[in-house]
Amino acid sequence: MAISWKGTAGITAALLLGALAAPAAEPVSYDKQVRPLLADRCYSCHGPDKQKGELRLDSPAAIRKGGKHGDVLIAGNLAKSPLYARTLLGADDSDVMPAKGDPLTAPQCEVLRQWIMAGAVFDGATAPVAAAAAPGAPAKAAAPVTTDLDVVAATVPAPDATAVSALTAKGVIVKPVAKGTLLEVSCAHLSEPFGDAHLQLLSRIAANVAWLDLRGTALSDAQLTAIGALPHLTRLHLERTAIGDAGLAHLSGCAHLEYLNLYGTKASDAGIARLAKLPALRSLFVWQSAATPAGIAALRKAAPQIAIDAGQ
Amino acid sequence: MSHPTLLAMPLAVLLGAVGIWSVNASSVPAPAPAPALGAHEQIASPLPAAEIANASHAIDQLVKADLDRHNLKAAPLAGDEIFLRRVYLDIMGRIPTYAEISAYSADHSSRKRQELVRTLLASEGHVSRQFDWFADLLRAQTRLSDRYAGQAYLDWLKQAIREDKPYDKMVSEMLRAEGPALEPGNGATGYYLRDAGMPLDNMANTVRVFLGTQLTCAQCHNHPNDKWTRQDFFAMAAFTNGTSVQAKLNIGKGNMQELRKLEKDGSADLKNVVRQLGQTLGLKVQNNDQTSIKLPADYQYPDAKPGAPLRPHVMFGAALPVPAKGDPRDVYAAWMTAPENPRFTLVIANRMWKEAMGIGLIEPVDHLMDDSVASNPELMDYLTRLMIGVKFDLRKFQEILYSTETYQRAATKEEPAAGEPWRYQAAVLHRMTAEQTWDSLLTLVVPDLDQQKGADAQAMIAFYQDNKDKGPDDLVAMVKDIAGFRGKGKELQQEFQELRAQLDKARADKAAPDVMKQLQEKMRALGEQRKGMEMEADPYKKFIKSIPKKKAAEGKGVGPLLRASELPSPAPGNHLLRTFGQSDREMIDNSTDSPAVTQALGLLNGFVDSDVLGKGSLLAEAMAKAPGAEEKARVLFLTILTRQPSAHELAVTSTEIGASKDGWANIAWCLLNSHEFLFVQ
Amino acid sequence: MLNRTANRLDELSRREILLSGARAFLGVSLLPLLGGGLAGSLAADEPRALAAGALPRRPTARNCIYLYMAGGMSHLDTFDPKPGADTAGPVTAISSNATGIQLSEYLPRLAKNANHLAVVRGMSSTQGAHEPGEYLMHTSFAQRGTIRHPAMGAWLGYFSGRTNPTLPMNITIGAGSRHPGAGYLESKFAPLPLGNAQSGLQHSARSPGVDQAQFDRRMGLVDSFNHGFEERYDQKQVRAYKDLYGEAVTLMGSKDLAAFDLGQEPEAMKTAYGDNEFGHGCLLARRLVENDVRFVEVRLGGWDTHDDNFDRVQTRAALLDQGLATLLQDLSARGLLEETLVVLATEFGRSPKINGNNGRDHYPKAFSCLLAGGGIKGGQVHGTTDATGANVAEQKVEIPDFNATIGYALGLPLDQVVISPVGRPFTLADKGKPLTNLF
Repeated sequence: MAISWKGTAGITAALLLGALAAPAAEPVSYDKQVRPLLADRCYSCHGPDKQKGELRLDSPAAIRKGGKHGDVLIAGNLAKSPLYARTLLGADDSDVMPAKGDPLTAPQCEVLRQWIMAGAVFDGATAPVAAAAAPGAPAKAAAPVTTDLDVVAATVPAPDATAVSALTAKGVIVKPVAKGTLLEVSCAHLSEPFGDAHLQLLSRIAANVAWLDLRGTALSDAQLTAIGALPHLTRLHLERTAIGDAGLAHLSGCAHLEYLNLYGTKASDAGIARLAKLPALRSLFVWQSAATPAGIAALRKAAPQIAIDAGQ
Repeated sequence: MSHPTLLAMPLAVLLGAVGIWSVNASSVPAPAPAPALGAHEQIASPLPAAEIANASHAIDQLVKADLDRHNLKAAPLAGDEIFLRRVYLDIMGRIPTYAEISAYSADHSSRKRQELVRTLLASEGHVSRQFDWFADLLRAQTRLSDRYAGQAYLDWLKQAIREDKPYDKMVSEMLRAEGPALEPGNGATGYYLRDAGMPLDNMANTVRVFLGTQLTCAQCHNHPNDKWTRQDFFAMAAFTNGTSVQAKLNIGKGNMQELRKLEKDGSADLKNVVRQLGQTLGLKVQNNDQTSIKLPADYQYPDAKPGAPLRPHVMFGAALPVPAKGDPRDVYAAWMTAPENPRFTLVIANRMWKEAMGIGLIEPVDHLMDDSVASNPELMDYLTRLMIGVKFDLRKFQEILYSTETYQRAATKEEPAAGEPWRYQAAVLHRMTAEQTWDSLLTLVVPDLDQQKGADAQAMIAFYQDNKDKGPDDLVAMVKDIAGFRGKGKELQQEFQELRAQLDKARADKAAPDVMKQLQEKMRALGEQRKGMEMEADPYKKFIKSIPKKKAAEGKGVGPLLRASELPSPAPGNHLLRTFGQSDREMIDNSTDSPAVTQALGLLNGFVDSDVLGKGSLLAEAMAKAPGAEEKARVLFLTILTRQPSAHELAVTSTEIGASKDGWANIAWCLLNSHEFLFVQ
Repeated sequence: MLNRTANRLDELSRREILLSGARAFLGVSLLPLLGGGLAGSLAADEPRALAAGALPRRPTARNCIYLYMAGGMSHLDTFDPKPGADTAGPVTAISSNATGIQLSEYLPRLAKNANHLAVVRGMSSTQGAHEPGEYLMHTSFAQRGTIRHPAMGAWLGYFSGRTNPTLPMNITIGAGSRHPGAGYLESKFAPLPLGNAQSGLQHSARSPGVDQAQFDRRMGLVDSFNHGFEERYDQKQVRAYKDLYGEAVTLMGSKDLAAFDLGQEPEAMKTAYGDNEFGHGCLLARRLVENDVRFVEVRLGGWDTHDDNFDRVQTRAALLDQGLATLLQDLSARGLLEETLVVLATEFGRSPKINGNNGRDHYPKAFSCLLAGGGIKGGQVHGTTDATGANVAEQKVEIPDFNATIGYALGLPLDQVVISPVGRPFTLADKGKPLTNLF
């Protein structure tokens, strides 16, 4: 793997910067910041005169269309957005963009990053063919995705090893989600019933818990308070527990929660209605819960971005 | 079955062709300085002990020369206990019984090992063991190609082993098989039934099994890393292109149409009956003497056009020209099994060596290439010539191998390194095969085990003989009869179920006792009626069940207590045999000795407790008879591990045995779950 | 077109390298802490790679259900129908619930669930016979007489470990006797083989009449008795048996043994999956995955349709259609499909040419496989074959690529070199490149 230290250090700074930055008061604007940047550094090869790699970047439609190698951006997904990612490569890398001239500066990269993370929205009336572009556009581009585990992972310190050991001793399975500090935690095979002792230990590695599996445990509604306080929780399994609407209320702060499994719980219409506000939620499972078809339909209407599986 | 044409083959011409066996297919270096074997043609039958000893000694010398070359020292000979257990497992496929151990211990002859080898090879137990080996190699199944009854083929294999039919003759009979599958003695047809509808695969399998050569790739393209071309493959396939499997009931088109019409009108299952009868009365391997094959439509090389006709031609060496008329397989089989065919002889010699010593001189045994080199080329050459010398009499060949000192050495402590040639300085520790494991366990349960027989094809053959000459009209009547019985059977079944529902309801409703009794009586009568129907009135059913002559003892939840060779091939998926890696007989040499948790569970909580230690087992009876804890311990060690306990073991185990009524069972259980039971030293 | 795929893959992997490079850099200072903490807490026999926290990417799937169609499934009569072609036989195509995807009429239920499926139509194998074909599909490597390569379930165990402490993590159902299993990896990564689903795991309870105390006493005696043998023969094969007895005793004590018992499913569920071996297998696979068994392989045989192709494929397809469609729905409703990669694989397809017995012969040049769930975007087709299904026209997928895709979904390190016992270096999917566009 030939990655220059200069290059990686640059990325690190950018990632850290982005992750640590408070939510920007004013979102990055395509018209005001992105388009001028592209015009300055990209149009000469990917514009009206030349279309290297069969790619043009001089209109929203063209950007959405991508080039001969496929998409140049997926909203909310830096790893799948070469428009951003290739600007980070080292100057000696044959794939770095722009191919000519100096690399982009860190603030310039940051503009692209924030814009893509905020959903790559093409604002402003000057966007020439924005309306016409809609049918072919990637569905995700419309809805801003606010989570990126890769970015989150970079900011989280290593987990408390004694807490991890104590959990493991209780039959909790703790595994890194991938290289990094985020953890997958499963309480599905405990040697003793789930209780406050487990929660206390979990709270000691709160920042690290990304995936949490509590299915089939004796979890109570009240105990969900502690779960709701896990800042980087992205997947949560509560299926076949006795939790209900009161418990779900505690999840309102889970800004990164993408997956929530409520199959076989007492969650009802009132409880799931609140989930519409979870910004990152994309998958919800309510088969054999107390939710009714009407309640599910209402949630679908209120939050079309959530795919709800209610079983047969 | 005798094959007059084969006997009439001008052998001299065949042998004369040796000179043009241009292929250097074996690893054999041209003139090997091997010890004299004696004139092959003069070896008497049965082989005199002196000849055996000479040949065994020659092998030992060749192994020793190789060890000297590599500065290795041979392990000492294994003691009698280890040898006895090993040789029983290898030749009989099971551990020796207490009585067999006692008989051996009482023998003080200096040649007792050699004599034991000879006795075991001539026993019925050896038929079982060798059958398991062949069944794995040939993928011989009770149901061939998932539809044809294969029992006659299995019977034929066993009989061939039992009468020590020379291997070349066996192979020749399979390759030239034709005619009705259920004609008495014609079981070799199973070789083609096994690959029915897949003549190309059959050819690839044949070449792999008997010539140790991988031709499969060349079915679609020139072999990427061997020399075989696609045209080579099809020229070989041309030999069997006229051979096909037929399974039609000869009732004529008109009759068939009538039956179809009847079936449409009513509910009788006529079509199925016709099919099933076709698969028995009409089942045959047919040869139409065709002597060419067309190259496939996607033939991609410039040397011939797609669809071009191709005459049969052997893939290496030379053979007689294929006559314009007659069965081209005569030439094919003669070429294949000729002693001079370098790969045919080498492959069986190497396979037999591997069966005895655990590791082949050439590994893998079925991937020969021109540059394959045996780990000990002189020995390989000697064995090849020896195989010719004994005229492919496998039993004689095995007698020589099992009489060598090489075979009798103590086991190696170190595992042979994977991929490194083995020099046979010691025996190789290995897990028992699935069949050895099962059969050994049964040795502790069932008396006179080797004589207990499962189903055979006799009933099927009798059915075939009774009906094979029936004309179309008689057959149609038979079809209608059988379908009628089945229809009635179904009705009875329905009635039976209804009755049972009534009975259940009556029971739930707490009906009066006389009502219950009446229902139960009705049910019983119906049951009798149904049973009678199945067994007597439906001749097909009677045959298909192929009822064994004597019903075998049933284990608790494991089916019949019969040796693996007497059970269906392969055993059902959840049988202990399969758990321990018995081949599913879908692919060549498909058995495995890989460990699996289910094996441990099977021995910990299954058959050992339920049957081996259960009431009425041989072991339980022996325990009842053995006086005192120490004697019980000795008997357990001998019958399970084929050895005396050490003083320490005797002390520990007899204390345990004396401590409670179940003490002996605890010890037996431990020994059966020990590594020493499962691994052959 | 081929070029395009290759370039794109190459570039995607570059991007991966790029971003994981950034993480790796961050990880340098963090890893010692994490590694120390976790390594200390893991059971001694957990895979080393896991202890080092070395999975390169976040997996999109935690578990995998691998459905193997043994014998060579006709692509033409299932997932790549060619209505109107001379070679189509009597089979017609039906539309599915995913735009632009048509399936054979033999698969009506799957057509209603195509929104879950990524149909890989450009599969191509180099092996035209069952045994080497099956081996290649399972391992990514050509079969050799001198080495056995691991199958994917063993790789998952090796790199990622178990998530249920008492159940085996890798199970095959009716997989036949020569599954590559753990290959050259240690036998503890080998699948637990179940003969069939209906009888489940036999003998997992103590024999009647043997109480726990007696059982423990017996095990103690066995251990002391084995000791001498283990010392005398310090060999891998003997250690393997020592390990598996330990494993068996752990399993006997598992609270999750009910996972193996189909008897606990309602009749309606069994009916929905199909009351046949494959249906039972799919249902058991779901129960097992629900209990954190991570890799389950279910086999459906009988696809070797050299004669009577259409009747026989129709019969097989009916079993597949019912079992798989129900499995997808059931997994989906339970929230398991997102985390469970469902794979449908076979050794090769069948020839477009219909032979004299109304059959189709082996055809490795072009065939179809499926992926669903586990992060795969449903409702898409990857690759196309020509008008008769004889050749891959676009986006050819070699078997190592397909397996790399499975490994990618499971987050396994595709480029990590593992040294086999004879000292040869291997990676888990040979040189395959994952089809990242499917995610």
